[in-house]
Amino acid sequence: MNHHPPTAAPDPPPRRGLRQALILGLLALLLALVVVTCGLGYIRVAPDQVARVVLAHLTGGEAPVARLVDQVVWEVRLPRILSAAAVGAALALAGVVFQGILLNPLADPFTLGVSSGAAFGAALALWLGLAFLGPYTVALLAFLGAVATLAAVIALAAKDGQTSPTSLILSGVIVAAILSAGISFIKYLSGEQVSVIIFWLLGSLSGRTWLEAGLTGGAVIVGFLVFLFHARDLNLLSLGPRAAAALGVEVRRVRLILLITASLVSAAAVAVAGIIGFVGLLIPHLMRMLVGPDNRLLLPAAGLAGAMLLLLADTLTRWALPHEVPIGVLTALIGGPFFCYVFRRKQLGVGRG
Amino acid sequence: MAEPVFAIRGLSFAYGAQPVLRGLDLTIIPGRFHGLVGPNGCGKTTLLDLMTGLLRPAAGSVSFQGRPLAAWRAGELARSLSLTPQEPGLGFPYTVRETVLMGRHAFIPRFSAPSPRDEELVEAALTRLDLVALAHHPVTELSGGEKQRVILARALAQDAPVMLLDEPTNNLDVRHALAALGELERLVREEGRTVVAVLHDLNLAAAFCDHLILMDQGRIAAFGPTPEALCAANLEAVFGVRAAVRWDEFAQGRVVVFQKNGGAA
Repeated sequence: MNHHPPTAAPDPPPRRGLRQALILGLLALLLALVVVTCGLGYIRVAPDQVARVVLAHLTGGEAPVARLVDQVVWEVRLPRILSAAAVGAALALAGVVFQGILLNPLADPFTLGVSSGAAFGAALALWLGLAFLGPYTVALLAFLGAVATLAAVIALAAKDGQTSPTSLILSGVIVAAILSAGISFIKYLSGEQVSVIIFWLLGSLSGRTWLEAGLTGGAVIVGFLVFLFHARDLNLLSLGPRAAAALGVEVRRVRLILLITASLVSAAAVAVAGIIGFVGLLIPHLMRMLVGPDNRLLLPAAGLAGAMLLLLADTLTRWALPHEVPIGVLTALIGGPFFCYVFRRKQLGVGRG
Repeated sequence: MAEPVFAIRGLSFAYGAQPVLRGLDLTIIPGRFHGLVGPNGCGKTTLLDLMTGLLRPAAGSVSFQGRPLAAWRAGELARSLSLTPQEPGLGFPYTVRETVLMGRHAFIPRFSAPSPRDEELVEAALTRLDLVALAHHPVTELSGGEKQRVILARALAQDAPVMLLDEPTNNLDVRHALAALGELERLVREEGRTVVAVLHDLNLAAAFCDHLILMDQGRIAAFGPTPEALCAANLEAVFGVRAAVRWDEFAQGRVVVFQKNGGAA
């Protein structure tokens, strides 16, 4: 029980202008980070040179730098960096949406088994050596696996055309458990290829191309617009379906749209980068503490923060560590303890939220 | 007789094989304060869910203001009908004010800021439910009774002519319970609104409701003006307890008293 003195100093809600400044600030920070990290690596490139290379490619001109520098920045690093940012944004955005729809602050893009479905699809492709789409076959099968899993989970959870948050989470856990057994079986059967499957499952962004950056980036932008359009409905959905419906939200329609979009966005991320945990759980929590729960502000803030976090983590594995650590392992190793710290602080009543 | 706000005919509903409502008929006339009373599990909340369209009837029909409920869009319905649910559902740290402003959802176009009228209704609701000092607190840090006042304030801000409330006095201390029901009574008397409130405290029902709907096993057991519907015979039939209904000089109204071992009778 809390006791509030009647004169409790009201902490006024952030004004509209302040919110916009925050989002613009995060955006500027992300752009600066992209330029700086693009210069880091075996070949160091100064930020102004990176900017010149990018500008030259965008305007179709010739960059006044060495050919090697141009290639390293434009062909190798930038697609990887933009893929990392897009994947991070996708996971964080999907996390915000899943937590809102499932009324569960512990939900993340993987709660409904989307990651297990993607992992199963990828493991299948690697085991059977499928290559009808060249190097993109694994990503395609991962995406299809994620989508098929989502369909199965919704079908399993639905009753009279409705899905409750609890039944969705239960169905997700059941389907994910079955798929995990399937993945183990594929690993067991795949003999020497098992290391390839394990490596994929640990997540990686090395060697990502412009095509992959473009596909994930496109999925994130479309998904973000869909989420933002429904941001206020998502605010109300957090009150539970009964209250949301009575306040004028078309609960069934909005929930289905958000569920499918968030799953597709996370599937696009997993297909490109493998399984990267904790970003979708940690970033929404952290940003909710910083900017509050209003999805109209939380969505852009979480998307940008997720992009920055994964970009930093990827730079760490690529540049700072002596051996390239799988990024999924890194995010869990850093994110896990950090989440413990945040959770504990919250338990002890420090800070807001 | 005024056109009914709700016309419910032959309404049946079941959860799986468990029938909850069995051919229920009910007509709600505008401008009245209805108390909906009945034993646990008799179908009160299910009836409210069918009246807001959250659930679809297995048989029978519900029409609201002369139109079948299925023909109403959610946003349009929310401007005419509000529901205060039994569970506050306040799991995310929105402030009290933000939560009360959600009552205006159906009136604020997507991407628009609230109008001065919206702000005015929110301030009035916060004042009426004694929440001004808590306006900027996160709802997740409130006590049960404070949360209940927040969702009542949200319904006041929604400002709908017809209000459904599921146990609106849940968790409220006696002062806040009297104030909340008094506010609803004022809206009915002065503004001609229609209220249907599930109440478990029969003395509060006796004090504020002009009509009582007694439910039992998925049917309407009795429905009429409170002085007639609230009698010892009805209470014994519906709740299976021995009760007496008396005029009380101090309360200036009718009060219900019970025998401790009334269930054994």
